[in-house]
Amino acid sequence: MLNSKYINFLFLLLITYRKKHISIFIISVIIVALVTSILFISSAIQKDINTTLQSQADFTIQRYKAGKVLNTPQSWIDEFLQIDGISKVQGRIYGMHFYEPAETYFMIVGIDFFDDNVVKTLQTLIDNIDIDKFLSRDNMIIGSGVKKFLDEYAYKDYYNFRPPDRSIKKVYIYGTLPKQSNIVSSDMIIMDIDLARKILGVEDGYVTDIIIEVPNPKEAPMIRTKLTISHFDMRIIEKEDIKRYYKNLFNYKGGVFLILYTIVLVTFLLILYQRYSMISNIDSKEIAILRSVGWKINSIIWLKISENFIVAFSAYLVGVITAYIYVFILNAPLLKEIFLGHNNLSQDITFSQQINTTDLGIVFLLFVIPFIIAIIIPVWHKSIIEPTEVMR
Amino acid sequence: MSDILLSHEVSINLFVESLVFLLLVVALFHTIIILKNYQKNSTTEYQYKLEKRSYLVVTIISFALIVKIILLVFFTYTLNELSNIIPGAMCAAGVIKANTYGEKVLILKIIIIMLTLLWITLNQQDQISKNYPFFKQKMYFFVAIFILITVELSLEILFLTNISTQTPVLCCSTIYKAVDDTRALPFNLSILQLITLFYLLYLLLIIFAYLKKRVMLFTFCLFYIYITYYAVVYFFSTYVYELPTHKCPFCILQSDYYYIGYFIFTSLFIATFYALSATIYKFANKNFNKAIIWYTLFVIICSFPFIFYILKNGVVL
Amino acid sequence: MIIIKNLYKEFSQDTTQSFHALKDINLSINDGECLILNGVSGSGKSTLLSIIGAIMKPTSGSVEIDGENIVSLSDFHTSNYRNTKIGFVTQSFHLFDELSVKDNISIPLIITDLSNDEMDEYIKHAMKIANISHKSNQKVKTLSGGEKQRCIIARALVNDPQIILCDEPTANLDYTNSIKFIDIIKKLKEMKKTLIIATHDPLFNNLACADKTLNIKEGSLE
Repeated sequence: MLNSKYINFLFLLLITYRKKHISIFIISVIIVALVTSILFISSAIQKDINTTLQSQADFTIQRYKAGKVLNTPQSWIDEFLQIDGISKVQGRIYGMHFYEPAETYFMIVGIDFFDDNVVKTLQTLIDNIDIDKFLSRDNMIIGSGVKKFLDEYAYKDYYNFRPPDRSIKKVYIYGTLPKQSNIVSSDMIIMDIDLARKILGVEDGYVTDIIIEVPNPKEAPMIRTKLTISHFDMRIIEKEDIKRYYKNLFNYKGGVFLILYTIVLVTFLLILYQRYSMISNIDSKEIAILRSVGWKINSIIWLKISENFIVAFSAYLVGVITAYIYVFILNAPLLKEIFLGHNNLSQDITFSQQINTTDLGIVFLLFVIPFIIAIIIPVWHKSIIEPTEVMR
Repeated sequence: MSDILLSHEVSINLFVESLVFLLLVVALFHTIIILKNYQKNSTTEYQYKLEKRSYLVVTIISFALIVKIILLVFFTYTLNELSNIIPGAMCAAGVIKANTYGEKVLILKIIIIMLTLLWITLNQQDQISKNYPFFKQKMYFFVAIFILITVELSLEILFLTNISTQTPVLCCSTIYKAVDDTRALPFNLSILQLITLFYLLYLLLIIFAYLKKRVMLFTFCLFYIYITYYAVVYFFSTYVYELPTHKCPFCILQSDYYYIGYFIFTSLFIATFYALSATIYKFANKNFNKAIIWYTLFVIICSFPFIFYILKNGVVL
Repeated sequence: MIIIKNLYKEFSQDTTQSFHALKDINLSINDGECLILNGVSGSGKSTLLSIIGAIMKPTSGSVEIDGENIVSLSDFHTSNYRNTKIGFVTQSFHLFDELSVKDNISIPLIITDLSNDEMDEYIKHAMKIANISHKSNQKVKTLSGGEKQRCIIARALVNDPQIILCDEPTANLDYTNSIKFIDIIKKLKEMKKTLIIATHDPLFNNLACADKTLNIKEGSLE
């Protein structure tokens, strides 16, 4: 029975009597657009964070005493190098610097320019970086959020840091990090590691933390055990833990949104049920005509369900397209702030354009299916109308 | 536990399952009214109203079937996603074995879809026959399916709420024993014996279907499911993975292997459906031939990676 | 052939009051016959027609169409019966006002296995008999009363039914259009259709093509 005549008739009815469905269609588009936007933003941020985490070290060691994170002794580096299976151990220096004029914090990250990998990475971030020129004096590379604040306070070429030893350290601005990395780098300042040590006041013989690379993931549990027993005033952060933490965080945030969405959806479904339970004269006449010319109850039920499915599915498509435009072209104003939290600096972030088919499937399951469930009983009520009363 | 429940996929799964369940409760309510009051040859207004009630039951069950099939696919996807947050799990196999409920849920889901398809076949015949010959039988049949669906939902909730994100689970290489352990196969068969049995049974099924031997086809059809499970996991899947130690029924569902698992399991499912419906329902004689076609298709899809591998490499794994 | 035996129809408003619309109707109509059912409003004409057309079930009795009792059939079969053997013409214009004449007429054929070309043929033929071909693409709401009636006739004829049931067909028509309607009835009679016309319009009294005229009063045939 699902032939072209049937489909023609279905669309004919829909288009002719579109006024019946228009209000539901509009509300549906808004709901779908909202939930899809949330999923798109969440997936985009997750993907960006996962990509960033790829380059995260397998283990990060911090000195942890009395519930506080302290600077880590550099001597631990040689100890860890003795453990089999570890390919690289490196000390890092980084920390927060308080920028008085705007009362905000910047993240200072020290880079060891003797490390080829680091230099290579920096070269991919900043085109044509001349390392020798960079190291010839105290230079720094700043994130776009930092640049914005410094410009506001007329620090165009340099900035005077005030390290804890009460000296003044003038550091020149060499360049700005690309906008695409804003999600992590907006409030970041990159400088030579020794300069960072001076500015952050990290004593000689200490580093902020130590990173460890373990090429073979199967050896990770054994190495973790060995690390744990090496010092008791130590905290180990494994990359897998961070990944799982973020996934759970997103699930939690997403879960909150889902609960809110469920409340909205259930309300909408109740409205839908009520709306379609109202049998208008047009409906009665329509059913009476179809029954009198020999349409089976089954055929009428499926006609009505198909009608509603098309309304729901079109709303789904339009909603998804709207969400795409809102998130990836307009950059999700308002919703972005809710997701990323209003941090110290404006998050001038562009969401990387990509559509996850899972997200589309989730929206379909969360909207189209409940929509049809809500209308099945009203549709049945209409389809079994006795044509006799109407035929008089 | 809450980590699992908060995972989008799981909460959505449970949400949609619950909605469908609610709808089926409505169908059950109407079914009970019909069963209590329906009188076959009566022509009163009330009997006619009961007939109209049955249309709601039919519509709900048909719709529930479509959604359950979608949800089954989504469930396997969810299991794969959960393997990212459960320590030790590399694919759905590990997740399923996280507790004792996992396998039961999956098997029950498949059985329910099969039974619902059989119900719809019965219903279609009932509606096109004169005087609704199977009216009451199909209502009782639905009640039985509903009980199974209740069990399925309960098991699913128990399964999902008892997966620990702290305790590591086994991965498929341990579950399905990467080491060639013949104790894993039924009746202590060797792989060669198992595969011979697989093809022999296929031929027997074709013969029984051709000769329309109902009882034999029914028995062997069910036995065949048991044998094909082991044949697919311990032999055919290794040729999909091109790795003799990778034996897993779930990894073949992934995109890396062109979702061939879906083709394998779907063709087997459809073949089984046609075989069962042909043997159970006297009016479904046409399904014998359809069973033959689908069993043949299933065997071809299973054999294809194996034959392709031999042709490409000239050796067996 | 239509054979009606011991037909009763009771509408139970509540347990104390019930209304007997039809009482012990016995009737037989041969193929190709034209039967006029005379009776005032509320006499049970529409109810009888509805039962013959299988859009209503009787309380008791049987209605045999070509040897088959349609009363106890399932919806699948009664719908099929209506789709293939019955054409309804009613007094109210039960049409989709926003659709065209052609779309309205095509509705009975949508659920059949006919190809698009076959369907077009049937529609053309029906429109020709009903003399409405010139309005094929016009929306029904723009038609006059008489044209709407002819549209209904075309829809009733499109599936080439054996039995045409007309319930007060001229009630909303003026004299000219009523005459036009009777002309169409004559055409249908020539096509050997079985016609049952329930009416209290005096124009149908002494109709030349009518084979039988029966009076129905308070649910019983006189």
